[in-house]
Amino acid sequence: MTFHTSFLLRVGFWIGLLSICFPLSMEAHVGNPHVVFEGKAGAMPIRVVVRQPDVVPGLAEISVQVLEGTPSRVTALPLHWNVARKGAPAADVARLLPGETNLYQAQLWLMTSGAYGVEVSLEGERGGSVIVPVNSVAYQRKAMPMVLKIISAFLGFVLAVGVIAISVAGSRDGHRPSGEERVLSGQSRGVVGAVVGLGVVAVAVLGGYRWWDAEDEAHRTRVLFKPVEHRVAVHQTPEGSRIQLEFTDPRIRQSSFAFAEDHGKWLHLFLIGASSNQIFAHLHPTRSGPQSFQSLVPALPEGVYRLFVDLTHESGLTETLTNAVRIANNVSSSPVDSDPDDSFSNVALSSADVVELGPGIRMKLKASTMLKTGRPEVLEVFVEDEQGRAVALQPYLRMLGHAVVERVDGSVFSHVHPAGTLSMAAARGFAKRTGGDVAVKDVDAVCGDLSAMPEAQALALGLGGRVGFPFVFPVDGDYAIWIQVKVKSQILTGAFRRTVH
Amino acid sequence: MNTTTSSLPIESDAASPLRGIRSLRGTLERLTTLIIVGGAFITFGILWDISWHATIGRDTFWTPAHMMIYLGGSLSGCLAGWMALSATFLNPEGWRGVSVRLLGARAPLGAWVTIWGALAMLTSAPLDDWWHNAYGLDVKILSPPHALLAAGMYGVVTGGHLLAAAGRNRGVAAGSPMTSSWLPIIANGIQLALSSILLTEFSFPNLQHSATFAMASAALYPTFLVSAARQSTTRWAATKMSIVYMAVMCVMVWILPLFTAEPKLAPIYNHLTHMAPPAFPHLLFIPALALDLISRAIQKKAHWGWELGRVVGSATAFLVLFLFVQWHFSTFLISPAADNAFFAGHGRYFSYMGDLQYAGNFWTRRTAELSVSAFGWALLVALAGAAVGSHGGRFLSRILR
Repeated sequence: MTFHTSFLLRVGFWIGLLSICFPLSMEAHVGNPHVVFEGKAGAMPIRVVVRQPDVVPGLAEISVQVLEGTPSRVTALPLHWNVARKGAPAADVARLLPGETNLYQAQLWLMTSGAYGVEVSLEGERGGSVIVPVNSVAYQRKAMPMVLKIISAFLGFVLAVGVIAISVAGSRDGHRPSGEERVLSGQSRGVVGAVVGLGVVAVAVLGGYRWWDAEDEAHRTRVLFKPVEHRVAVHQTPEGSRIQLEFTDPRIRQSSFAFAEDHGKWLHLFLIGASSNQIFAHLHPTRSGPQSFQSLVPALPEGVYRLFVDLTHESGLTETLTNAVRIANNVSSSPVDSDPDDSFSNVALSSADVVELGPGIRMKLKASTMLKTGRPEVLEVFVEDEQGRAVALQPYLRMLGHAVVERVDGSVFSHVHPAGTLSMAAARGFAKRTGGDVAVKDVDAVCGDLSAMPEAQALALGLGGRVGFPFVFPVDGDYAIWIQVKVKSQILTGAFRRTVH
Repeated sequence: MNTTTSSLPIESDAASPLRGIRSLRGTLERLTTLIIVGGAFITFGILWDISWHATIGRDTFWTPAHMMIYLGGSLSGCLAGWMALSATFLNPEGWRGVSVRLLGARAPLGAWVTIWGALAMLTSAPLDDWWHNAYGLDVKILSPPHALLAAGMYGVVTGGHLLAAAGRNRGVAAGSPMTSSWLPIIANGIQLALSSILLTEFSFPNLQHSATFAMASAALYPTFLVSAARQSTTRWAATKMSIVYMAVMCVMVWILPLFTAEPKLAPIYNHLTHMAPPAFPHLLFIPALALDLISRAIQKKAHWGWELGRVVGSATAFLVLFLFVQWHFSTFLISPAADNAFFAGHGRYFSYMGDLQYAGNFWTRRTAELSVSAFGWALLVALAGAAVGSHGGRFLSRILR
């Protein structure tokens, strides 16, 4: 993390040369401000996209697409994790966008740092509500645009000259009666005025500089989001290489910082080959100490790996820890993983629509031909056999499938579910705080948690071999997309590469 | 020390260029009045804006409070700009006797200060917008861009005061005071009200037993009160100015809560139903009365020792009387007895993210209580403020352009 300031330009804000502050190079929930939810509010299927603010306090932009039905009104309400409905304002009415029949938009102010739930309500006969958890955190401090620097520098210079010139003019001529010529004493008073004016400017410049610096420092230390401090190490054991994650952050002892299980796992740890994006592993470390977790590394080739760890706090705040590890001399070839739901894939990313998953099974990716940034896309796959018949999908980590989307340079990373990118654990937490255990069960069903429904029903859902993942690409570029499903008790991974415009 | 301008030739001589000044007199008075009205818009607008933030919370550039502030700034700035235009290009002979030269252009000193203020307000707008995007939508009054905005607003209001004071002095010198001798007093009262807003976060009644309140008040109010009292051309100037300040604040204390409003920012700890008023103003007219008396007592004494006596006496009298009065008045304001529309006490004046259970208590955890040593430091600050005020008052009582 670096933080650059330029003394000269900073000083200049007060006299005309302005501050330069470059953003922090820190990321969390990596590089994607959008939270996407697709499911039902009452009986109406909807898709919600929340663009999280990047400052605190800040504005969240809510977009609600009603996929079926016509609500009489759509509202959005921010629920702070700590006070929930008790401290909530009146809900905002989302307005129907001009030219649209089913797309509503609203803006919500999120006042403090931490987790918020955005409750989207559809009023009408078949309507209902759903809570989409979002983060209200400042990830970085935006830099000042060059145009603004130049304009402000010029105006600041004019103001500084103005102070001195007014001080001179006032001292020299302010007391001079009409018609009286300037006298020598007036000139000397002008000099005094110049000195006073310069003094005022100097105090303003130095005071302003120190004040600005103090504000910036306070912002960095108190407001900017700090990822959970942790250590990652790979150890050799008789069973093979083990990756160990230890949380060293003192905040971890705070109750709101405790972790919540997300679809049955404390952590979802992903390893992605740093050089080629070809190697992908999805692991679920188990607790090995009060603040440490470990997992057996599958048979990955030697190399450097980008590491992403998804975790959800009890408050509903979600974050993705990032790091890098080198795996060397990995002797593990044991099929026995730390967790039965661990999996990995070592196949090249495919630009084709169809990839082979195994003998007689293939996966078709049906995404729009032109993926675009900033709009909801559905990455839908169809798993079929050689004859094109649907292959039944079994619940994998309580869902029909999981997807991981990573910009190939690692600047964007998201773990996506059929219900979207929201954390189910966070949604459950908000449901419990606002509606108790009954609401939690509803959330499980709404978020597509197959364990919340009878087994036969869950299995029936997978018979069609289809599963889709709603997602918003934040920036253009080349993306790796891994889609994981479970077929005949085997976890299979389809690896795709797509360009987003 | 000579504080009068009895030998001024203004308006006593029928020859040019003074004829031009006479013809400008009505125009100057009207323009000065309008510039002061612009300053009042700014002051009322700021109080409205703070209430807006505290009550509703959500903010855009286009809130009515912001519009009032910018209307005030642009009205005053444009009028002062017109003065400069007229004095420099359109009627330079007519304005020559009432203007000062600045980088080749001419305008009354107050007009230049007003123009500077309007420009500073303009400069702060894009910076403030960037600040919101970089550091978050602010929830506090003081930030660097807001300080620049405040300096600009203060410049506009000060410009109005300078214009009014110069007009008064010219009138006094010519033996025909301006139509409204209250104009400089009103301008000064508005200036004081605007300045007092800067101390809002240190001046809640719940904080008025604290050392911070004493220090902050000592840094601001003696300057204004001594300056006003020092202007011997107006009787009871400090007292009158304090009453104007109280009137400005009371208008907002009484009017704002008449309007329904509800908080729109979560988390909400205080579910308001009406706009939150500012806290009831300080009873500044009591120390001001003492300062006016001191000033009257040594009005014609020019020896430096008397001047020193004015500063020391005024600072001490102010601090003792002010802290004594506010100590008891704030006790009343946080009590249930003040929980009414007139005094807006017992926590009605704040709606920030605090709990109402603290409304009836002094907040001693946030800041140290007033002590003897804190009083000593505050006295030193008040002395400095009184000295500045005395100098400023002398300047204002002599300014002619």
